[in-house]
Amino acid sequence: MQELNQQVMASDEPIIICREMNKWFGDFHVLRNITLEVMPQEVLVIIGPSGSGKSTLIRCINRLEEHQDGRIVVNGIELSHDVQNIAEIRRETGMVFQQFNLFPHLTVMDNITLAPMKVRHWARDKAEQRAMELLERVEIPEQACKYPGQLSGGQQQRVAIARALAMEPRIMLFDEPTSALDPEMIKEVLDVMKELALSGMTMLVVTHEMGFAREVADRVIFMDMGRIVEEGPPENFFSPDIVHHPRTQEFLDQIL
Amino acid sequence: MLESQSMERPADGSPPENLLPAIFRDGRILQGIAQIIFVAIVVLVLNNLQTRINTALESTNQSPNFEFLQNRAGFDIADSGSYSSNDRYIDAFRVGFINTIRVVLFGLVATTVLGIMVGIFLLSRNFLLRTISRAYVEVLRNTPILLQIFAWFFIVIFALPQQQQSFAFPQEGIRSLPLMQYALSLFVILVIWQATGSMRRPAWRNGIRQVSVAVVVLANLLGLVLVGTGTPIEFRPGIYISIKGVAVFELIPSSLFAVWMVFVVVGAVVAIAMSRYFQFITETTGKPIPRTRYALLAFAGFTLLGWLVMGMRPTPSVIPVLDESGEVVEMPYDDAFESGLLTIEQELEYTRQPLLYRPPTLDRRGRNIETGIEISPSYLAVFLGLVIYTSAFIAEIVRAGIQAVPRGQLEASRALGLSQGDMLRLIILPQALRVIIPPLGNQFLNLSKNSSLAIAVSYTDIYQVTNTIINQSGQSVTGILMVLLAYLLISLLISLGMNLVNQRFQLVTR
Repeated sequence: MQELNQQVMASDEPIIICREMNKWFGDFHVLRNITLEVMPQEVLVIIGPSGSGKSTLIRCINRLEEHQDGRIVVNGIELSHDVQNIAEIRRETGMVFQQFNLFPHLTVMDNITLAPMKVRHWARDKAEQRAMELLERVEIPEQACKYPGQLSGGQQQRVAIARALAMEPRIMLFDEPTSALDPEMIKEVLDVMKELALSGMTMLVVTHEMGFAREVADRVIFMDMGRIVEEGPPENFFSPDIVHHPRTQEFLDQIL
Repeated sequence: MLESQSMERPADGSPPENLLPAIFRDGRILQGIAQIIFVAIVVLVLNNLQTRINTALESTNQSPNFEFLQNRAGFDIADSGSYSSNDRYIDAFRVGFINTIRVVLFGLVATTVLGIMVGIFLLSRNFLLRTISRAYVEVLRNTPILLQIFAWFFIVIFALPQQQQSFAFPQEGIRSLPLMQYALSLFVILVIWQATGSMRRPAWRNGIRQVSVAVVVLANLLGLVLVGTGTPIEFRPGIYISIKGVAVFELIPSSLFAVWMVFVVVGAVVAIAMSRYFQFITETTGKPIPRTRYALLAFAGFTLLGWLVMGMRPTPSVIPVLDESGEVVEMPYDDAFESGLLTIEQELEYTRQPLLYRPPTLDRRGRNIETGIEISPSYLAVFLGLVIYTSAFIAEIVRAGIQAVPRGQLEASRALGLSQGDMLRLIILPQALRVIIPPLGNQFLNLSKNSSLAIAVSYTDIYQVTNTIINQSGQSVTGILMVLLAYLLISLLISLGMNLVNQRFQLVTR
């Protein structure tokens, strides 16, 4: 009984912890005193005007950007200049980019199997089998042998999600995954993300899709000028009865 | 209302009356007519030109022909190997062609290596390296290549010492260590290092490594003390640099060379087989194996083993040699070798080395190179000028190619956790090469064509030789035609090669 409790306790530990995190681009203070905890299986949506530092925040979590002050702990590993720690954190976090960033010289299949084979040292058979499962999950198994340039934007983004999932990460970071897509393709990508959220993946999503935030998020964070201005469950966030911080209200008035 | 408007519009929009019949307003027919007119003009001009050339040549009694190529050339060519002035024009032409190929072939390899290096330095985070390479590129690509060839010839090479005071590498009188033995020791240590690499317990692994290094070092020391195997031997300089150019040692295949090559070939086959097998293992089990390293070790092992086995060949107890007084004396091979009485043929026959090292030597008067490979100053000037000038352009192409890979590609590779090496090899390089190869081909063509500037420093390339042929025979049309065809052949071969490489890196899009 004691042991079981400990296990439950362990899974109640936050999977991402940021404390008093600061970052500058030259003189520009992009992230100011960010303190944030994300629980396993939580879906966190980050919204805010452009230039508010929301993309930079999630890019700090897998060290695509370096934070200069404060602490970040991901999956129990301290993020520092230690290259082994960085490598380990990157193995446990998948990322989906606004511009997809698929490798144009590799087929869809090779895009997905590359990292599992090179980083996780899987056999090709296993990696390809897993890739086919993922392609079926994002509903484009018939595109496996094509090159990214032959796919539509929505299909490319779904391949990018499959590629990130192939590493079997514990955390998925989404950096405006639908912003570069045609309106009719946004839905197909959001559907995949919804399914992923329901399956219990820990997700940090930077997006302008308020419908997605309302429907899927466990918690919404509003950022402005490098600060977390307001956070709360989506029911509160998008409810007209709640009194918001004036900056949040201004932003919501503009987009809703 | 609406209908009547649309009825009126064509009447308003079109000209009042058609000046030309419909057939002459058809774009396809107009294009066809333009092409016919153009071809007609070209044919007329060429025809006129040919008539004029023919009349001009007939008036000087020199109709273009190829028969004169069989006549005696009657002039000497530096850098010509076995050619002499008694050979035919066609032989002179061949010597020139080979000399051009010599510059272009080695030049292409050297300029590619140098250019890639400088190109990578241009992107270096090291300030000093980046600045120096930037200065290198800017100075070299902004000055004429003819000037640079002259600079190499008249400033750099003329500043070198006279032949008697040549720079020598390694310096005269240096003593060589038994390289073969050290290579073998190093190989043994490397193999043990690699073999223990997969051991789980660090204590055992380090223990085995330390003990084996100690044993190898001890064996070398003992050999030095007890048997004298490590005693240095006198080593003659292998490279001389002087105002007369560069003289480099030769490696001559001996009678054992063929047997040794068997070891080398078997080594290569084993290495390739090992590499394939380990790749198969990696694919099926996922276990990472440093297969290139293993393959190289296997290859080196066989090569060294071959050399060792060759060294065990018994030599005849005595061989006849001519001593200083010109009498035939019988003495053991090693004594004859020590006293330098062996002829080159005997050395090649009885040696225990598959390749015979022959340092450059001067003749009695100290003027001409007797053995070794001689590289003339004019070859050096042309070679250095072409290689260094072209490398500046290639450096820029390489820099641009690497920078053309979008940042997102690097971010995606990092986010997936790929190592730096994998990212460079699997993501950056294939995409950078796609951008680099077409302009690189242009630079290769430039280098091959710029090699005709060799005439400036009297390097006997095809253009220089043909110039002499034309002056002597008066066969300018044939001569120019032949040079033209020779350069065309070289250029087309380069283009063909680059197109084949280019095909491999094309992207598939919709």
